[in-house]
Formats: sequence, structure tokens, C-alpha cells
Amino acid sequence: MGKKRRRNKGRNLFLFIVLCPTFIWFLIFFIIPLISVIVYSFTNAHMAYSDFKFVGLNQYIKAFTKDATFMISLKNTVLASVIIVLFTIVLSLLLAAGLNSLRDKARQIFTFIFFLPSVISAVAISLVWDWLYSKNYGLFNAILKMFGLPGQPFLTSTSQALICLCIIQIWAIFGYYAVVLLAAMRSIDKNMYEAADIDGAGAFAKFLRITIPLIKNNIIFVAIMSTTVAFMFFTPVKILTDGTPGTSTMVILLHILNKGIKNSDIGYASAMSIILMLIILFFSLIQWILGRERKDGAKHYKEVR
Amino acid sequence: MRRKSKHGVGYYVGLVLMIIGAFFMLLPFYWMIISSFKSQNELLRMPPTLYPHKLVTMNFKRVLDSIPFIRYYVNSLGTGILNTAVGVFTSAIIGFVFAKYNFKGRNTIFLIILALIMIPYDVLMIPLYKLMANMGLTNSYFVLTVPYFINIFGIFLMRQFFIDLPNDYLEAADVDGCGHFKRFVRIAFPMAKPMLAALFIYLFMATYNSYLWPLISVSSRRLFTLPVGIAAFFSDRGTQTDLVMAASTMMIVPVVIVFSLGQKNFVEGLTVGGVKG
Repeated sequence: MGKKRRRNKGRNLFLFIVLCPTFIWFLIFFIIPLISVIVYSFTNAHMAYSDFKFVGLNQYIKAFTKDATFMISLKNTVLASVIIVLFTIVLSLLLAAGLNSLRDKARQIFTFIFFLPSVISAVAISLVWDWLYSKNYGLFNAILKMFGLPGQPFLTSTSQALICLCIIQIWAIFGYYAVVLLAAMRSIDKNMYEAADIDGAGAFAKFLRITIPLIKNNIIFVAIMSTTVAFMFFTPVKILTDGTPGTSTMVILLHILNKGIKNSDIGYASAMSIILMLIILFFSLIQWILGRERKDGAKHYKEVR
Repeated sequence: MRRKSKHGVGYYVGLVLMIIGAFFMLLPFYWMIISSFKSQNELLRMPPTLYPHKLVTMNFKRVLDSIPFIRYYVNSLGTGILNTAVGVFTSAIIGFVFAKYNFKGRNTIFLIILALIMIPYDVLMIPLYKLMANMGLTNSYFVLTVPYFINIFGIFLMRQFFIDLPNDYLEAADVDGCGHFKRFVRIAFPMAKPMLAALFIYLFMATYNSYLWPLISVSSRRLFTLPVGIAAFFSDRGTQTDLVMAASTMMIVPVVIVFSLGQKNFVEGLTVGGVKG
């Protein structure tokens, strides 16, 4: 009896010591900022002053009616997201299939190479791509000239800059998602393919009819993750173009930070943040609905004594 | 099952495509490194030289002379290692508690934590900045460390690992009168080593490469980390490509080394979230 009570006391103390600081951390770094961003979005809060007035939906109305840059940034972000997500899914699927067909050693080497950009600072990546894109001395224009093609303005052109930035982002992330899909492909039961072999199905048919349906949930996962990443597109844009030329590369996160940090207009920045969050949550919800049939092994939930 | 070398045409087409792809993946890195060894003169040659005809090592020294690069390095590595060590420990112990203890509201709390992962953290940075500013904590090592101490993905990863760990191991230890905390440190934590190695690399990359939060929360050069410092250097001296490339090369070296050493573990560990999630 006494021993059991002592153990229970130890258990409760242990849980308290772990969960209490965790709760405080989440409160400060997640819950308070989350509540603040919601509350601020209905106010005229300013970085420099601690008091603010409630202004109802004015900040939201301002975003959609008075701020042309917001609409442009929304349009640019959606366009960039469509490009980034489509190419990321297609390329990562193809790469995963390619990696899956290799033997251990070769697969490891190729995985390393394609995964490498995912672990490198986006700042360093942006800087080297800027040099590759350089109008007068860049490698890309040198290659174009070698083939007798005219040099391109790339990042300094209103029509090309956004696409060029998207290419950097796709290059940087698709290897990571390919590895996620590769792991899913490798967990497929080999017998599935043997049945298809007997039926004389080709490699492409097997990929389309067996592989893709079986890793559907993982493809959805990749779609949602890359959508979130694409909507939060920031680092290369901030460092290389800062929204220029004109407003052709102004993306929504950059606009939010310009308003909230540079102009100290927290109320307005918060309203735009909420709009962005709702867009992203909408896509997450779609994933949740599409992937709902997955279940965690409930049998594991037995408490340790 | 091993396939003998009876590959169809498709296999070789795929292989060639992958080699071409690998070339484009490595090209920017190659270009960064060789550019950092070229003189400004050679860099501006058209068509560009494919390797440095005259090897210049002065670029690195000139970077060190023109910005407090060592300071940035120390800031980045120091906060990186501290945040990673703390982050690995908190992920493991919180994940362990959620996997192996049945307390009131556990599932609800865990669902809330999982829901928080869906919130794009970048948009919380403005109110967090205001909160930190009100508390007088911006522009200090506090904002470069404490916000990184807990990682939701890490908690999720470790909970997944500990759920799969049979209770028997832990209960055997309990018989010997092992305390709960001791049992975690002595038994559970060491068992999770492969997963912790993957998590270590992941968290190190995340804090070492972190750009937006330090950009917002720190303004004194004394506290700059590498990404912020080098981005600032680029906006000051963007035309000096030789120095910018040298600084970038120096920045990515530690990450490439860590990644090369732990590649296998890391890549496998990271995909757990995508496959099981």
C-alpha cells in the first residue's frame, strides 16, 4: 500500500515537472501570440503603443478594398504556389520512382545529392542562385549565349522574376518530398507487384495502377506540406528582389512583414495574417478529410506501470 | 529479393535522367565553391571560366576582415548546439510522457499540440515580437534560444517511437525501484538513440538555418547569426560576388559535414512523419 502510494506520488511529480514548463512554453510562444494575432486583427494596434482601439472588421475591409499591394501579393502568392506545388509533386514522384528502382548503394548516393539542398540555408541558396541568374556575368546567360540565344534579364524582369524565384524554391524542396514518397514506396508489399507481373503489366502501368493509389495519402501529405511552404514563400524573395521589379514578386508574407515590422502597423498585419492562415487551414482541412481513414494503432495506448 | 541485372530500357532512361538531375542539383554548389576561389577579375569574365584558373584564397580572409564573421559563426554554432541539445531532450521527455503515461486530458492535449503544427508559425512572429519587446527581451540571446527549446515535430516523432517501444523494458526497470525520471534517463532515452540522432540533425539544421525570426527579433550586429549577417552583408556589398560566395561557402560547410556524417539515420528518421503521420 505505502509503496504504491509513494510510486504514484513519484509519477505525479514526474508528470508535473515535465508538463508544467511545457505548458508555460506553449503559452508564451504559441497560445498568446495566436490569441494576440486574432485580437489585434480587429484593432488598430501599433508596435510602439501599448493601448489600442477596436475597429471591427475595418482592417479586413482595408485589405480587400484599399490596399492594391495586398491583392497583388495575394495573386502572386497563389500563382507561385500553383507552380511550386505542381512541379514539386510531379518531380518528387518521378524522383522517388527513380530512386526506388536503384540498388542500395546507388540509391544512397542519389538520395544524398537530391536531399542536400533541403539541409542548406535558404540564404546561401538564394545568394548562389542570384549569381547564376546574374544578367551580365551569370552562368545561365553564358549558356544561353553559347547556344546563340539572347541573354535574359531573369530577376530584373517583371515577367520572369517570380518564375525564377519559384524555380529556386522547387529546386530546394523537391528532394525532401521525394525521400518521403520513396519511404512510402519502399513499404509497399512486393507481392502486389508480383501479381501484376503475372498479368504482364508494364512498369508504367504498375506505377500508375499500384504505386500511386497505395501511396495516395503520402502524396496528399506532400501536397499539403508544399502548399504551406509555398504560401509562406519568403527568404529568396526578401533577399533577391524584395518584391521588385515593381510589385511583380511581392508575396503575401513579405507584405505582412513590411506592414507589421517596418511600418509597425500590427493591427493591419494581423488581419492579413489571419487571411493567410485561413487559406492555409482550408488546405489542411482538405487533407484531414481526404486522409481520415488512417488510424493509429489504439492497442499501443496501454499505460506503462 | 535481389534483382539481377535484367533491366529494361526504361531503367536506363531513368538512370540517365537521374544523372542529369543530380548534375543540376550539384551545379549551384559547385558554382558557389569555385566562385569563392576566383578573383573579382576572373568572376566578371564572359564566358565564365569553369574552374578557377588562378586559385585565390584571399576572399575568405577578406570576408573575415570586413564583417565580424567569426562572431556570427560563434552565435550560430553556439545557439545551434544549445537549442538542439535542449530540443532533443524536451522532445524525448515530452514524447515519452505522451506515449507512456495515461493522465487526464492527455489525448485532447496531444490533439491540440498536433493542431498547432498546422498553424504557419511565421505569421505568429509579429505578435511574438511585440510580446518579447514588451518584456524587454528582444535583441538578446533569450530570443535566439528559448523559442527553439521545444519542437512540435520532435515531440510527435519521439512519441511515435516510444509508443512502439514495448512496456516490458520499462516495467522491468521499475521493479528495481527506479524513479520515473531516472527510468527515462537511464532506460528510455538511450534506447531512442538512432531516432535522437536523426532529430539532432534535424533540429540543428532548423536553428542553424533559421532566418526570419532572428531577422525580426535581433538588430544588434553583436547578436547576428550567420543567415542574418550574410544577408546583411549581401545587401551592403552585393556586387562583391567573390566575397559573398566565400561567405556562403564558409556558412554551409558545417551543415554539409553534419549531414554527410549522419545522412542515413537522418533521412530515414525524418520520413517517419510523412509515412506514419
